[in-house]
Amino acid sequence: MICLNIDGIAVEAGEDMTILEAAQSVNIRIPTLCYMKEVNEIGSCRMCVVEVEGMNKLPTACNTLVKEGMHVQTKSERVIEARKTILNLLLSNHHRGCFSCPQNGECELQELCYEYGVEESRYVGTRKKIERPVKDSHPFLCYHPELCIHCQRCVNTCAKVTGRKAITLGKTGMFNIIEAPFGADWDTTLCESCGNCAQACPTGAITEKRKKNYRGWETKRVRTTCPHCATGCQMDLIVKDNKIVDVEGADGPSNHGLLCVKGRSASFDFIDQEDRIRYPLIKNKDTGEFERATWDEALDLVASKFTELRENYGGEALAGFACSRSTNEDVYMLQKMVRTVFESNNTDNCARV
Amino acid sequence: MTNTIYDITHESDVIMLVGSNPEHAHPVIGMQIRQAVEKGTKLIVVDPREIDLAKKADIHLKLRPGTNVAFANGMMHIIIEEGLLDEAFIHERTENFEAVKEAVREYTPDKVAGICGIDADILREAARMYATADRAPILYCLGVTEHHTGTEGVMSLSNLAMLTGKLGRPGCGVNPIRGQNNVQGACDMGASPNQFPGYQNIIAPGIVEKFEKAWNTTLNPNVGVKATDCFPKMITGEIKGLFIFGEDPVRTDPNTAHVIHALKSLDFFVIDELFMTETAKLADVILPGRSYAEKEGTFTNTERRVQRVRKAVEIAGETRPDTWIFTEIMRRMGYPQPHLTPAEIMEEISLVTPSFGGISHERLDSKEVDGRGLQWPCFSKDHPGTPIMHEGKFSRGLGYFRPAEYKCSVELPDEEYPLLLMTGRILYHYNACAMTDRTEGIHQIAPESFIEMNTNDALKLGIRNEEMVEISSRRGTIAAKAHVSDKTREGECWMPFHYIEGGANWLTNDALDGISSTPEYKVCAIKVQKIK
Amino acid sequence: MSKIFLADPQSCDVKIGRLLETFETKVKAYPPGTCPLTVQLSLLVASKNQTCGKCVPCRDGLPQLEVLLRKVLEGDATMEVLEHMRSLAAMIRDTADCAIGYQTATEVLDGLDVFYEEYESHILNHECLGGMGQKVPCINLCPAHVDIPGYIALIGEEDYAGAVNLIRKDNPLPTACAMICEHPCEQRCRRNIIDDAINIRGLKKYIVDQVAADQVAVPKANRSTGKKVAVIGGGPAGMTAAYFLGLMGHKVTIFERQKKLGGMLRYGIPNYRFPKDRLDEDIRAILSAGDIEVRYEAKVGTEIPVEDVYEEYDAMFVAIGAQAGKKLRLDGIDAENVESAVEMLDRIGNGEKPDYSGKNVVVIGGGNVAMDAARSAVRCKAKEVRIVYRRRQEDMTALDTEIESAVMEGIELITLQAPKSIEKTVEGACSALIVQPQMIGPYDKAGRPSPVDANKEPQRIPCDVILIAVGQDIISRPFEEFGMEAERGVFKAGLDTAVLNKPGVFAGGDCATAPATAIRAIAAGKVAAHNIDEYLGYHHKLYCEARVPDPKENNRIPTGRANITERPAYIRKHDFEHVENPYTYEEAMQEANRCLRCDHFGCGVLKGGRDA
Repeated sequence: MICLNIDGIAVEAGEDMTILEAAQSVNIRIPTLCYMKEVNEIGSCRMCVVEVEGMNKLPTACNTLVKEGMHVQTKSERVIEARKTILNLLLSNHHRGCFSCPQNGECELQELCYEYGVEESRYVGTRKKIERPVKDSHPFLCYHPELCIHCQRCVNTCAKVTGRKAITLGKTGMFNIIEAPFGADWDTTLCESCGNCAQACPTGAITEKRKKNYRGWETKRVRTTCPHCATGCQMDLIVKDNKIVDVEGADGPSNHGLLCVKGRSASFDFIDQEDRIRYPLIKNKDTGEFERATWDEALDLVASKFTELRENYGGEALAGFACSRSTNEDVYMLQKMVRTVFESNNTDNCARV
Repeated sequence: MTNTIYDITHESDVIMLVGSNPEHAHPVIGMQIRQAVEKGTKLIVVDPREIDLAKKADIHLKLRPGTNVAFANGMMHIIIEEGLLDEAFIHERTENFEAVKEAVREYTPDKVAGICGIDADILREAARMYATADRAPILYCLGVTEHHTGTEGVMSLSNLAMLTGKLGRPGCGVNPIRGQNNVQGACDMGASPNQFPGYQNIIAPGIVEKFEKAWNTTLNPNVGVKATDCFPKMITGEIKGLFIFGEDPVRTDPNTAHVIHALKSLDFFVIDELFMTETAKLADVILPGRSYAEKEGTFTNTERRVQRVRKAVEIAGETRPDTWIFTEIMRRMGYPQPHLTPAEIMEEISLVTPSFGGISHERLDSKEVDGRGLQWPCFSKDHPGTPIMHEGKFSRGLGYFRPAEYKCSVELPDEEYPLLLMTGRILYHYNACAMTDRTEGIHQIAPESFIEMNTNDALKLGIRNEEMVEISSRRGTIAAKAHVSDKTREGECWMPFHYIEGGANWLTNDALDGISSTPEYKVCAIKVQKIK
Repeated sequence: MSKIFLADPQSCDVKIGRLLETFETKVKAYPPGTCPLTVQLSLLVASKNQTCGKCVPCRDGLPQLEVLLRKVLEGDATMEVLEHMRSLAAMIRDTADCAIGYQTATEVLDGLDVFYEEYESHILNHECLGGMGQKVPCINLCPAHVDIPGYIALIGEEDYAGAVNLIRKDNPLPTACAMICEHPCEQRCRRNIIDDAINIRGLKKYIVDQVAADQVAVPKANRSTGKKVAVIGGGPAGMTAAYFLGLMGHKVTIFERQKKLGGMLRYGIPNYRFPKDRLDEDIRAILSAGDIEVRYEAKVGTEIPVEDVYEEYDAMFVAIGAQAGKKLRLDGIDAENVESAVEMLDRIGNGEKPDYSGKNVVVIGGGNVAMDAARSAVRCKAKEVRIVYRRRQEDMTALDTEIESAVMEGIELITLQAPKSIEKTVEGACSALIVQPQMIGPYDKAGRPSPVDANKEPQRIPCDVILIAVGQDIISRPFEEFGMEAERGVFKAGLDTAVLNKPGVFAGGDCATAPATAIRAIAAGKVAAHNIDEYLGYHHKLYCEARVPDPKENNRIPTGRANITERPAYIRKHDFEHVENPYTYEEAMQEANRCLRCDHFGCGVLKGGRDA
């Protein structure tokens, strides 16, 4: 245990805790922008600087470990001024078309500028003249360089979390830049389209293209389990006006916030597709065409036909297969149906196929 | 899985991946394996293909398809020969070891190397790496099970884990990565011809009576027919009526022509579906069900973790919850099933299924569970669930060594069909694409079927990369684009099975596993020709 | 398939290496007289371009500092801009992750203090402070402002006498400077941009090797003014003042403590570096300039009261040098054979060569005197000679070439050892130097890293002779008593050499600066002569007959700098003969041809460009 003092509060912290974590443990909020625990701890934005007695510099709370007897100030005038200057600098190179930005209302830079009262940068961005095209050839993802604050959350998410290393650091002149694989050559890159980078991006620099179709505040979130493979990723369906408009990874025990391309991008378009079957259909024996029926018509037909077959040939002439994509409750009821009214144990699921 | 995704990817020293391509089939597990390798976990890949993880692996054993049993027996031979076995574990926790020891005696490294087409020294290195690691999970997938000797493959992997005491501990175990989102749940819930929910065997004493009592009815006491065995019986007329809930066997089952013939032979065929699938087109009645986003419920993932599914939207039309549909059929066929909510259904499940005894929607939604689900067995309301199976004791008491012998695949290449075809999944689609197909971007990325061919085979046949080719087996002929590379070895090809155009299952063999009746999707003989 | 690779010799980093060397030359050749704010800007731009782009303060902050500094330089700033620069730089200093960011910000902050007036001038008056404006680098950096491009051009014309004349216009000791000048003129030679600095001293040596200084007649002296000037000390400062005062027509009396003129040039610098017969050439020429009388062995301050001289003469130039070896306070310092290096060199200068046959000699110190003493000890047949120094070799104040020559002659450098005490035999003879090992530590105020005691046991260096070369003192007391102010023995004199509150008294050379170089002493003598002339009520101008040839086109082909070679160490270390070899004609001509004639091209033709 290490004892230190943060903003006048005595704090006990673990030896491997950072100042940021120690502060969080006593509900002191230190602003961060580039920080992602265990993923991006490079301290590039410097928003989390704090004042520590006896240190000349203002250390970054996100990657400075606590020390015995440390006296930390998280809100001193010097710290606040430094943060404001940092926001001014970031904003100077950030395209401020918030109205048209898909991240409007969910942008962390916007949020912090609001908190620190930075409305206009006092600087003219020195990188604004470096023209870099928007990369939006990828079917799902796009990158707006002029919204990018180079925090490298995407780079390290791709490298350390997804382990794919499809987003890399490039270089232009004197700067490292983000090489997002969403340009014209997207289909030859390592990108697996999983979109975890977009979820990690604090601004609107990397987004799923569909993000522009809704605003965060118009939606509700429904926590659910991904319907594709058996990993059981937890995710939030983003619902706007009874329609799922997006998906975000949630911190589930098997996925830790990650999703793959199927979970994130191919798990909701099908739901309200034109060609969904929306009414019971009975095949006209003469034409071979399906015709719309009422539930009663369809269910009566089903019940009577199965009853007839059961009566004539015994329950073992009937079978009912469950879908291994449906819920436990559905499957349970299906097998119960087969066993109770089909009077058969010819029930199975598609586990084998 | 005996263990959790977290412990096998975060707490293991060596991961042995057999017949599994998680980067494509289970991408988020794949990501975590990549993280583990990045952080220093060693990786052994046992796979006929040069999958991406093979490039990151410390050892890649590029087995000839269908030789898993020989491989596992070879590993055990080396481990026993070199004294790397966990004698205490074998002595205290298992039985019938001698039978396996006897069985693997003749699987010398040289012999196994010959069967599998690998280097005996590398097999030895793999055996040592696996056996000497403190924590090493075996992960496997359909590359093990989708053979006519799939069950033997699984058994021999279990033997391997028991031999080295790698069961019942974090970062160990024998871990099938199950395919579909709720394939685990579907098995757990008793959609099975011989088992009631919770693997309660029909032929076990008292079980039928138990359910007769619970459901207040009389039940058929005879073991039913497995789905894959049903299709021949439809053709012979032994099965006349079929209810399918959300499956598309025309797309997903082997030997598509045979499946269509079987379904067309039925007297009455009802399907509960979301879309007009190839299978639905053959039905007499189609009942409009609901997708996962339109209902409440639970899925059980590959870790046996029961997690919630929640209703997010309702779509226009007259779709009904599937449980409503089943209840109505029961009622209209004379069984007084009351209409229950999914939560109430789970209450009933927990009453009749000991391993689900402590699981309810209420508990899953509670602060106690905190969105982390519950892993069965979870016997009572105060049981925390079971992240790791067989800790201290196997569910059956002592772990049973069941010897398995290598048998070659049913249909091997010959003069007429000189190439071997394997099938599998790709990242961008899921099974029959019913869901993935409907996302425009997915189409852009992975629009069409293809066949992976070895460079030398392509050269011999005069086939260039990206060229459309004709592929035929004894069961059918399709066309697909050739992807020429050295990912497969000479004489071996690989295809995804998702697509309707160029769907691999027109070619695959419906030979079944002798025990589980799983089809031998992974091996059949084909020929590939240029399209004139 | 290969997995890892060696560094590619064609890689950018290798190529950049070459570019960086070129970049260094730009810094080396930064022209004197440049506005400090533009240098600050160059530094800032260079630093800004080194950012990796990771952190906001450095990546986006340094470019904004540049914007602000440019505003200042472009005359588009208010005083608020300075405050803005200061706060932004402070933020970068406090929050930047690595030295690229925080050190750059610190440099900007330092610059804001050091050059505050300059900033102010730019903001308020939109111009540099007075005194700025580029100058010819070599002429400007030579303390005596000798017309270097001029005499190099005369070499090209083979007019060696003309060259001597042109040098003597500013410096009457061409031979001394040819032999031992530290040549600050070469420091920012523009030729650095192309290849390397011109070997100016080498060329000057070629001149005096072709024609001895005393074979070139000095200009005719003015008619006598009747004024009498006393010059106390016949070293380079005194002789220079005497020469110019003589030419101006004043009657000069040099009071020389020793038997011969030359000061440190004779009694400090050993013969092998500067043969005394060559020194005599300069002296003979100087003494031929007007009415100069020398009073040898005349010890002003002890035997002759300073007051008397002051009274007798119309003006007085004090150039007594720094002749006394500094002492060390060590236990056992009173042992036999422990001597100041200055005294030992003085004795040799007076013809008394010590015999160190079979003896181990230790020299304490790291300056040029230490090297001279050590190398002289070798020539006095010492068995082994070691130099003990408390800092590192790179911290030694001796010229690198001197250190190198000493090492070649078999002298061992024992660095990071501080003398602790001297061990004596019962007879009282020195038997060893006890030293305390040091480690190098933080930089001191003067910008040199200070040594501190290392956590190691003291060591014993056996020796029979110890020579102490830790600096020299000025025997200032009699003059202080006379009324000349001094600080730690160093006389206080203005940049015009005039001594405050003592009208007619001037001071220059080592005694007014602490031990320095010959050329600085010469510059002081020159300045003193002109200001004494003014003091006496004259405005004499000195004319030079040599004409500087018209420039030829620049030679742009990169060509190596022709160094002066030395006689092999195994031979030279046995005698006191001159160690240096002469240039060949071809070497001299090639070297002269490399000169870019900055007096003509570039700023040289501007007003003030050839300032003197």
